[in-house]
Amino acid sequence: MGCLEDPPVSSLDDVTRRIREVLVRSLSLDLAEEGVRYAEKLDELAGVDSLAMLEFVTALEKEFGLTFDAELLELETLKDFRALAAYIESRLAGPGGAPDGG
Amino acid sequence: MRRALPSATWPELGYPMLSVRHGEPPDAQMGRLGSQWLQKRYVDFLHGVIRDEVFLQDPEFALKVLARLRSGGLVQVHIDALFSRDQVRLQFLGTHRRFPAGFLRFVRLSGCALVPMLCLGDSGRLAIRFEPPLRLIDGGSQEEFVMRNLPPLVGWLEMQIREHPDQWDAWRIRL
Repeated sequence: MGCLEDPPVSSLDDVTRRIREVLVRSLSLDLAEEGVRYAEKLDELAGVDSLAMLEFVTALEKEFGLTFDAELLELETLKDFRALAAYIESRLAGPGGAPDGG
Repeated sequence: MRRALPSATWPELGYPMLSVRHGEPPDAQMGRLGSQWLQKRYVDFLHGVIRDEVFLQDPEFALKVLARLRSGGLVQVHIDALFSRDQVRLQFLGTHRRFPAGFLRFVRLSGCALVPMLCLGDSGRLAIRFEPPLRLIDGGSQEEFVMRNLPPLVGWLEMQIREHPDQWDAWRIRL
């Protein structure tokens, strides 16, 4: 039997999309810009303005309703896009995975 | 409540302190007045008792500060416009002075408390006093947050100088 609804987006895909959106907003990137390399952009961001990295992190936390573990607050860890998405997805899906603060 | 703590107990309180420093070259500006001055002795004392530090030039500076706060630590910052790219001019003791605004950006994003530290001393003794946390006015844009909260902090600095004029002189005049 066919289904009229769109196929469900996997949780990880959704997290990945939303991380990219937060990155674009934090850096005020041109949405039409092709081939935005996530790790390079974070390097650039940290090199220009360390507080901008903080804006990116807190924007991510707000987007997902989470408070990141202190261990995650390292540039090398945050630059690993797949690992970051997997971390957020696991926090959202894990026990007590309801977002922090409601 | 005001409470005097001997410096040696700071690490033992369970609140490891991280000092934010400028490193081009290491603290070339901070403590620049020489050891006869209270400022230099204060800086030497402070850095002597704080075990850990992070430099403003470190790309991970803000992340390290946030991680330290979230693990229950304290972060000590010198408010000095010399070290800040983000400055605001405000009325101060009858004239205009530049004040840094970057630390307030950090406070707004991290949601941390802002606790003034007051250094009092003379030729034989030096004490650092923690004041109650400042009441911050939230809301608005980043610029609005700075303009709402920096003037009260500058007013607090003015008040401390008026209450302890001898200390202000000792900062700038040989002991």
